Amino acid sequence: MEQMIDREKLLVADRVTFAYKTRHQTVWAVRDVSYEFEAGKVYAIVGKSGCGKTTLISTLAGLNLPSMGEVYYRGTSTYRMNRNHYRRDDIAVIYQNYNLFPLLTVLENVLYPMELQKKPKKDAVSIAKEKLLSVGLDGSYLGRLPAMLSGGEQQRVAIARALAGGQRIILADEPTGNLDSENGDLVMKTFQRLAHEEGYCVIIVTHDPQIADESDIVIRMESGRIVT
Amino acid sequence: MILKYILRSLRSRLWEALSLAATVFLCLVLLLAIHSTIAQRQAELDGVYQNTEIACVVTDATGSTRNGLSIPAEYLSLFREGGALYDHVKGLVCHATASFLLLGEERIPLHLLNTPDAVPLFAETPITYLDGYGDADLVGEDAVAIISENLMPYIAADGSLTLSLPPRGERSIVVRVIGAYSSDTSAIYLSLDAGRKLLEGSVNKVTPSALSFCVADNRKLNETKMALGEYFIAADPINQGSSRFGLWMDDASFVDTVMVLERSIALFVLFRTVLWVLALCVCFLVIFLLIRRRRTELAVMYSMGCSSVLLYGQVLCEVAICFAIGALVALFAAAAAKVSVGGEAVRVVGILLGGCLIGGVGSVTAVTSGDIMKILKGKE
Ligand SMILES: Nc1ncnc2c1ncn2[C@@H]1O[C@H](COP(=O)(O)OP(=O)(O)OP(=O)(O)O)[C@@H](O)[C@H]1O
Ligand SMILES: [Mg+2]
Repeated sequence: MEQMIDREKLLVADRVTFAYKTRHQTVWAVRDVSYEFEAGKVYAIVGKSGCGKTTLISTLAGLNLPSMGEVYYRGTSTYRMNRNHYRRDDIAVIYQNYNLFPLLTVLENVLYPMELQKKPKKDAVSIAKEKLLSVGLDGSYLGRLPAMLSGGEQQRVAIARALAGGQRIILADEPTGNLDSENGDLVMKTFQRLAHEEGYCVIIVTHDPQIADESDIVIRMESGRIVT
Repeated sequence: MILKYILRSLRSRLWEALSLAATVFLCLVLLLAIHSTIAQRQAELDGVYQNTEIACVVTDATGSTRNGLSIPAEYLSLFREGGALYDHVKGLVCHATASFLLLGEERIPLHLLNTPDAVPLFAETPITYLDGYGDADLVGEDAVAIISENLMPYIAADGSLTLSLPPRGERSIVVRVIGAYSSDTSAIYLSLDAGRKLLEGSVNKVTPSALSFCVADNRKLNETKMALGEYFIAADPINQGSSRFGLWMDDASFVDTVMVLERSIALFVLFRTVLWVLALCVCFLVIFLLIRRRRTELAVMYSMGCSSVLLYGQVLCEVAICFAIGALVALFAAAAAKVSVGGEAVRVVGILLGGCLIGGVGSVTAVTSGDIMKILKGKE
């Protein structure tokens, strides 16, 4: 099975440096990072708090432009693409603090990325239900608002939302931080299946050694640099 | 979906929506009130400009008319078409004398006038016009005459009167009698312009003795004063002995009224400007704060690749709906309070709506161009 998947270099960081500039000081959060992310693999980015993990993935996600260097998606630099379309169609981000839409129900939250992609409503609903089920949320959750969910449930809705868009790159910022080991496992299995069977590229920021162990490749960061 | 989102957003953030509507309402009511006040004052001022007659009377240099003036006839042509004062004045009232005429052996004093107002006598003994004639005929092309009743017997059967010119009566003129007044002393009053033409080349010198008029356009009062200043001096008792003609102008109360109105309008306009700045600032601030409260939502939409049209459209729609509610109530309130709401109101509402939408665009841009990650990380 694995051999059939194209080991295409989906996402390439080329000497990426990112600096937060304020009036008083400049923080070099990511320094000179070069890396090639391939389809079909699960990556774990680990490192101490504040070492620049979130900054790196938001630069990969096209939310930031690198201060120096470039991020290439399928050979095109994020500088030279329509980043709106890139974020809508090619990349999905799961945030540390879920960031669900508070006014939308669970189902509507998961439908949202598909609405942006203008998927037919019927297909979208069945995909949404399927993705929710894949993270362990059954039909009884569909009509609830995020405020009526526990932290772990919200996290899983956020994961389902990221999966629903069908983007081939999934960036997850501590997706299992609020999950018990059972649900954490479920999510990790889903990521692995997507990568290994469907050729997704999954990049997970994590502090959890078990998640790191289960990933294909572990990337260690220290004060903005990749050290392995 | 987007509509559903907007409606849900409005419903679940009802108080925020209402506070924006209330802000709009308050701003609009105040703005409409001041706009209509200014419009009222302006109409009042226009009325004063249009309806005030500023009377001007030609006098001697000291301001007196008591001794009878002998104004050179050339002055009359200043007020005629093509004359330097023609555009500046209206309602010329002129009484002129032209020595005498011979009626048989009798020497009859001759006057010229262009309206009965020119002669104080006619205020006491009004003119009786023949059928079909009136004051207007005195300014026409025809040589018409008003005579004292004791001259009636001289009128021919066809209503005309034949007069001979002094000194010996070798030339005669024919005029049509259109009216008479009762008096013991004989006199003939000819229409001014036609009369002057008839007398051309005769020894009868036409000498205006009373001349008055009104300012044609009160808005050009200063120009008119300048133009008049070329020919007349301001009448003043200290000008004793000057041979020039003076002009007495009844403009003091007009100038005062205009000044008071203009001052109050200027004050209101200043107030209006301040109010506009305040209203726009308050609306901006309210919108900015409301949008800031939902910056996480906007940041998430942005990070998911939501198009700008959708992102801005959604927020602006909500702003516009709140605005519409506030504006409608304000317009109803204004109509109920009988504050005139015409095209001006549409403009006021339009400008404020524009301001609010710009505020909305600015606030959304502030979110999307700021540090999105910081918002998404929930650190802000
Ligand atoms: N908006 C910002 N302005 C200035 N400095 C920032 C900003 N965001 C992050 N930083 C700094 O950049 C560095 C990297 O931050 P980042 O959030 O990427 O770390 P992280 O590895 O994700 O940490 P954690 O594991 O705690 O989430 C830190 O030193 C942080 O203080
Ligand atoms: Mg982080």
